Amino acid sequence: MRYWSLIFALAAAFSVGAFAYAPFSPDWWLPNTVAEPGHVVSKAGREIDALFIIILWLTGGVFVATQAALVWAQFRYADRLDAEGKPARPARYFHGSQRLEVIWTIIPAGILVFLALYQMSTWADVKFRSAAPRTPVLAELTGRQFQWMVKYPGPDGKVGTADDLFTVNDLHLVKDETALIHLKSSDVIHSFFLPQMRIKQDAVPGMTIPVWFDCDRAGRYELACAELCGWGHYKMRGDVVVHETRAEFEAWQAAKLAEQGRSQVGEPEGETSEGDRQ
Amino acid sequence: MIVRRRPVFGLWISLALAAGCSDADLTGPLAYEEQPGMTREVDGKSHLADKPKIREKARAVLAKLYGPNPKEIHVPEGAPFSKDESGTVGGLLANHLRTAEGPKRLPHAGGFALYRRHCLHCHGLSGAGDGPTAPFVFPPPRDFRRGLYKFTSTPNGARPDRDDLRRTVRDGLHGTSMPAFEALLTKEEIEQVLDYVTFLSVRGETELALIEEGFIGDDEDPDALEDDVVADLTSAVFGKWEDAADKVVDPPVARTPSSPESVRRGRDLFLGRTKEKLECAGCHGVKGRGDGKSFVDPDVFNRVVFRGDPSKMAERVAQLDEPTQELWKQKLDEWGNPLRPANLTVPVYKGGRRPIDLYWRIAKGITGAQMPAHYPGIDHAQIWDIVNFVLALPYQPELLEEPGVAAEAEAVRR
Amino acid sequence: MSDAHVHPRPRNPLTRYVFSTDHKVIAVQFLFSGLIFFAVGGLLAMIIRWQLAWPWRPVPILSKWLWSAPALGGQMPPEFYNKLFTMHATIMIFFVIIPILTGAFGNFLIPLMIGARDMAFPKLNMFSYWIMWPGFAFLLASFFVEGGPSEAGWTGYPPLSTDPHAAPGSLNGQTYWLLALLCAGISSLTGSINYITTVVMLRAPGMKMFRMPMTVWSLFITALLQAFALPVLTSALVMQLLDRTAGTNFFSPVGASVGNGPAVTGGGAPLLFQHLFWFYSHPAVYVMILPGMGIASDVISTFSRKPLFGYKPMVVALAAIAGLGFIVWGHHMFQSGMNPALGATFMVSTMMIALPSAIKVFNWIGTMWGGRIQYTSAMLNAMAFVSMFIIGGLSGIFMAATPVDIHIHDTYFIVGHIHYVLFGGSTFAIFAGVYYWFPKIFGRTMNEGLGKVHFLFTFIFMTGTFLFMHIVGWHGHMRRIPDPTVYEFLRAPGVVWMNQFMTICAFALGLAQVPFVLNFFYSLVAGPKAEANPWKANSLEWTTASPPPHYNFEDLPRVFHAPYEYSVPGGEEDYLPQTSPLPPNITLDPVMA
Repeated sequence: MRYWSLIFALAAAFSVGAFAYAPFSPDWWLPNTVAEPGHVVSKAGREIDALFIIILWLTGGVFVATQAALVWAQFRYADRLDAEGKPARPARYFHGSQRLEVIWTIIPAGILVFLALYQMSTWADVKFRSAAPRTPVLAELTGRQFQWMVKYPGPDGKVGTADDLFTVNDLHLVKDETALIHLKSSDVIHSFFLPQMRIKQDAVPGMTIPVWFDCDRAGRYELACAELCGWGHYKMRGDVVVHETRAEFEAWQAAKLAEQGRSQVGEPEGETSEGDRQ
Repeated sequence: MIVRRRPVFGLWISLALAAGCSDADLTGPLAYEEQPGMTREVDGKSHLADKPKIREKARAVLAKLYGPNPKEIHVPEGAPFSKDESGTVGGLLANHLRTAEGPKRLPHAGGFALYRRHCLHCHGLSGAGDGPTAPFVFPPPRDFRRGLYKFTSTPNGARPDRDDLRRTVRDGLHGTSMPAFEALLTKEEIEQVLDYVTFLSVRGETELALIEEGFIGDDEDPDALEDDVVADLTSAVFGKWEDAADKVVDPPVARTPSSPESVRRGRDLFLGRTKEKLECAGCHGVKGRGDGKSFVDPDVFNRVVFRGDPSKMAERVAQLDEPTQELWKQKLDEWGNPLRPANLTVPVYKGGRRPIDLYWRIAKGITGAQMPAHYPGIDHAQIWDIVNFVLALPYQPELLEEPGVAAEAEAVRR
Repeated sequence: MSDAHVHPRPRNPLTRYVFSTDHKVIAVQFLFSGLIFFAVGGLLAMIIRWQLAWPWRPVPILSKWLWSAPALGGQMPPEFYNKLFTMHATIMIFFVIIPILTGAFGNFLIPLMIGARDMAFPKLNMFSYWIMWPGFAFLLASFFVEGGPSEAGWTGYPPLSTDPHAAPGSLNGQTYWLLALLCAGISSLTGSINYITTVVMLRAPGMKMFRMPMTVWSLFITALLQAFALPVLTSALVMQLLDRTAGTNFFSPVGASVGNGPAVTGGGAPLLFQHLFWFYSHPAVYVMILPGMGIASDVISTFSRKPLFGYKPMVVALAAIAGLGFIVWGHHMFQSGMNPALGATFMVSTMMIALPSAIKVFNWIGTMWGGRIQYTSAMLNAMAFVSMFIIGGLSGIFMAATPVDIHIHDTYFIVGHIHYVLFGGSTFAIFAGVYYWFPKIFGRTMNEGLGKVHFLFTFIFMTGTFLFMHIVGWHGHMRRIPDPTVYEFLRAPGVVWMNQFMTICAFALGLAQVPFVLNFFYSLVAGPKAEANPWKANSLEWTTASPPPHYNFEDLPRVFHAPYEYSVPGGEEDYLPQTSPLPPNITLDPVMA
């Protein structure tokens, strides 16, 4: 009978094993770039991951300790009968221990209060509006069933004027520069999710929510919708392109603007279409 | 200029979606849906309702030309599809090629597989715009089977250029439920999807052509729909597609740079104040809100289209008063779906926001919709003025709100 | 019969078995309808898992008649997937777990465990079951309306749920969904009023509050939670219903144009619904776990043959969970656009609610410590409850930490968490309760061998099904997507492998319920007749016959102590029913027991 405890031990060991293996496989761990699976690209991401790992260790420790206690109790205190079919050992008769109750109230409480306070500053840095960068808005991003409409300020630097650049599912930013976007929705609730940069924010119709993030590696990333928004929810994928330099970004923007201003089938007037197709 | 090889039957390439991948486990018989004229009487259109023999022949021809079902695709000689990596025409349609040695795997997913995964639930297996999601989106998904597409660079009624379809798939149609696929498919995959859409289009067009041809034939005539006739029909269908690239309308005059004067001229054209007496405001409204008098009132439109079950739309139309019902019937598109004029006060343009896109909409109208071609009624410079006006309006609503403008427009229209 | 007020059992089979006011019959009715819906909800989950493992591959057999578009070749339309998970969650939460835990166990156990002849309001009790039926009807009917059943998720967030053109299921199905939930809510509300009154008014002589079994305590506190939170949900549902049918605009913001339709002219707030919804639905999570905690406490104490470790601290912890449960709802809305400063306060309260849960786990282990553990099917399931609840509780800390929640919010991590709590927690508690009280409810004993086979496979495959959800979740796998392979980072072979592994385990988990079904129905007709007290337990329900007579007790029992006096030194037996006084040499610790 006592060997039932092994099933519980195995389940716990399997869980610990899976979680312990996870950091060693890029597919199992927090999402990062394929080239550098160990590197988190955004500042917020690094803080969030550090916090995640602290909590993982803490909960992992608590998990192992409680499961070990449980399995030991199951194994050690299983009922056994002696040769006469009587219990080999009586159960101990006690109703609890005030001291233990106090101990296992105070210690977890301390840990939880520590966690709550420790993470406050990260939360404030990522989300509090007072922490928003004082930079010009990179783009206005509007969720719509089922795409992300991106509106960049044109040459006049303001969003919402006739020279805006419009793209769909295509967000461009510059490496190492904090990108500030204004998040909106034109129909239902969507959620702006950058897995590699660990950013998530719901886009709510009727609200404009500032979101900021950065990225220290140029390249292509993915933008996902994380809030159920209808039948095409899963299709709401966007490309995020991080440019190496601001000049590269501006060249891309100029080419896009030129294409947006195209009035004849041939070459667009002004800029050439260089950088239009990357 | 266009090389037209005479289709030689029996030389078609057969592409089969063979076993070994996820495409193979579709259950049940997959069948193309036939167009109504094949089996039923259709008012004012050709049909084969009373010609069972010709109908069977038409079916046989279609199965031979395009394959019996979506799992087995035949590519007729001369079909307007692009070449795959190995130079096979139509090789982009599927992921296996049937050769004498057996099935050969192609290095891509294939148009049918991609279509099935991304497009099918709206546009349907036959491209009839009748997927399970279709009743619940407005505007309804396109029925490809007539070869007509609204937002093209080619003249009104002509087949689209491949670039037009590519833009639609890549960027989506803003203001409709057609999403942008640029972030979901690679460039190569978009080409595969385009080929499959073209395939469904030419298949549907061939079907219609066979119905029309059979309609005038005698059911007892053993030579009806014989190979020569079919060859002529298909080459006509393919020819239209091959011609499209040459028909792309390129504005001969570059856009007039946007200036207050140009915008003002555009506004006057829009309001019909010039001698051309354009009637834009009649549909798009004197304030550009898409609420013109000659169209169904937007409130009525919204009540009919957006309030209540889509399947009961006809009943809601029937409840309208007599003149509105009459108007409603006039304001349907080629596919019988209700139309609403664009609201020009918001910067949402279904066919694209580039000046050239707007030029095409104004100059040559919208195929299948009520927007007429304005060239040569007005000249290129005037079209550019209107384009400039339309692009400016969302940001300068005062253009149509100056005192007297609306009243004046009313007066002009009378 | 000594009690003059006891009426005979009704003779008419209709009032005896169908429209019965007997709490035991009503409990059985709740149990059966709950188990039937459990099978339906489980089947929906299988289809969900199939789609996730092999996106767009036709489901064997089912796809032919589940989605009516043969031209699709059996491929699932994406909106159908949304319907599946919406219905799975709705059925499991509102028509399985809550009705079984509060409806079935609450009804059966409260009067029997406190020594009452029936509920305080028997007719209201009957009403609380039969009002479920319009709910079932609305839910089933929604499958046959145009657009199909609701697909706005079990959370039903507007405007996706309120605008008829936001999704096919929002056309008509959502209205039926709202009506179904209103019925289920009325059922819970009337039930909870009944339980509170019964516990407060109808306890047997000597049954002080602190002599009640943990199960009764947990059901009592659950009833309080429901009584205070449900009105808020009800009003939220009614508001959404008005938005949908009467043209009000509580939740639709001005200017939003859904599905290319006309722009909204009103001026509502989508976040308002989320606040109202979670003000109920967070406590609802405790509604689904607290009774499980009570059941586990009683089962563990009985089969450890040992007093419950820290009876009064356990009660206080329950009350603390319930109390804190009212001020943590905002943790569902950290990323919703709610003021982040408010999020910070919700984060602190959420961290604090982990504390009483931790205390309970330690106390359960303390109860087993030094006992004489008897590995019955009920005990195994109760221990699995503890073991799995540890994971469910600990994973909650990740979400409580607001910065970490930014990343894992709306991912499979939270799906894993909720399933560890609701399957690993509530469902194992339900199984434990069924094995434990089956002899009392039906007067026959379940087969222990089959019970253990059922437990073994359920436990193993439950871990296989839900564990990897945490891993794909922190890898970024969003919830509620039918095709993860659209995303590059979810196309990774490891993620695909995990999705397929989870699906296979889910099917095995479904198969693992076959022994339970066989055992349940076989024992129902052919199980060995049960004695009054097969487990040698202390609480009052075991002092009467199995199954209990109509009106429960020949004579109302007299209670002398709490039901956890096992292995009292010097006793002849290792248990001491509540109706027997404590030996004079025993004094109880006033703080602990």
